[in-house]
Amino acid sequence: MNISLTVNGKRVEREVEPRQLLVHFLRDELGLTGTNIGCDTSQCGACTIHFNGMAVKACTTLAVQADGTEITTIEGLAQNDELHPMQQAFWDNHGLQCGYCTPGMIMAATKLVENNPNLSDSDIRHGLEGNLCRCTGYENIVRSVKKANMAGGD
Amino acid sequence: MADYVGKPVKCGEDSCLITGEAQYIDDVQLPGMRHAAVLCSPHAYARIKSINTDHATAAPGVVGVFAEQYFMVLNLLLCAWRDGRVENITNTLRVLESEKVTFAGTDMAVVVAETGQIAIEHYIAIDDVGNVINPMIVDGQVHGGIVQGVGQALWEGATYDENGQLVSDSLMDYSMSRADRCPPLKAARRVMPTPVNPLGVKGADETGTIAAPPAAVNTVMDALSPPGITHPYMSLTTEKGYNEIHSANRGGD
Repeated sequence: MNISLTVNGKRVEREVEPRQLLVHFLRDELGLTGTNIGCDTSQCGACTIHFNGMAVKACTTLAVQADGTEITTIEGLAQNDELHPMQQAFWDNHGLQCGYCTPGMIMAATKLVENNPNLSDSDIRHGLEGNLCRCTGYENIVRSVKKANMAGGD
Repeated sequence: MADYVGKPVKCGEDSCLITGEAQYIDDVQLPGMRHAAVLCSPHAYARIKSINTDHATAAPGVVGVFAEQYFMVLNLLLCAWRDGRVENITNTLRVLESEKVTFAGTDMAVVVAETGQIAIEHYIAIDDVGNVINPMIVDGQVHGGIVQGVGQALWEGATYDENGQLVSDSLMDYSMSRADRCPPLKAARRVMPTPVNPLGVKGADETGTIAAPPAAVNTVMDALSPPGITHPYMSLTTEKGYNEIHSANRGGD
């Protein structure tokens, strides 16, 4: 099937198999390997991307569902070599260790903050409940999201 | 040195991790790269008589089938079964029965409600890691270790069915700690430099995993002691908490 969509601001047109998952399309067809695959079953959130302005897990979305949509991946978050405030906050606050969950965590967190700029720690924990992290114990992730939030978010 | 030691220093490698530029094994595409799949035994206590590689060898795209290596992998796996380690994981991983938390300086609050749902209000760890080079990293390591230890004590577990088949083998079935179940963490320190190395540093990352299970279980035990429960086993799931409370109550009737 032929699909055309916008990925990180660029028009993309490709022939894809109807069964191809969006995450495989992004990684294997477009080479955007910043979006990671952790579990294949929507449990871990490592593959979270922005899909028409929503945080979506790309491992359980079909590529054909993305026809006509606007997609942003972690590679498209920084603008003009300037890190997104959420990326900067994760760096500043040690919100990552091995970094594998980080792209998905940042993509989910940006939408969380966009949708509600005044989040409590508990709100952040509930909002990121769909993203697993084995390294940080979540403490510094919550701190990062809160700091990005306080800086005005985005 | 004085500009850096003891002060938070941002990690240099993070810039590629937050932008998606970092390369993991799955991201690597090399010219002529091949992929390997490992065969694992579906049976416990099974002996391998032979492995027929004909079908696999004949399949389109197969470069080679290495049965000898498979034997090695399977033997390793079967050794684990023969050692009885699986039983150790599921049944005999008994928590400390002493009435005290034996790890100095560790404190934790766990509340058990009537529903059996275990709620952690806060976790404070005080660790001696010797001299601290980068406090930001040390705190992060301790946080991560605590949540792994609390997870082990309260909800994570390798679960096997009656045939020895691992049933908690994916994130669909394995209850890994999620942000909403984890308590706010506070990592504090008492610094006593070790004399046995020039930097005076000690290990940091494992402190959380070591101290958290006994701290969590002892606190739950303390909360459950009125109904007469003296030795709960990890992992202390909601179901287990509920059953412990109710069977103890029935015993008292």
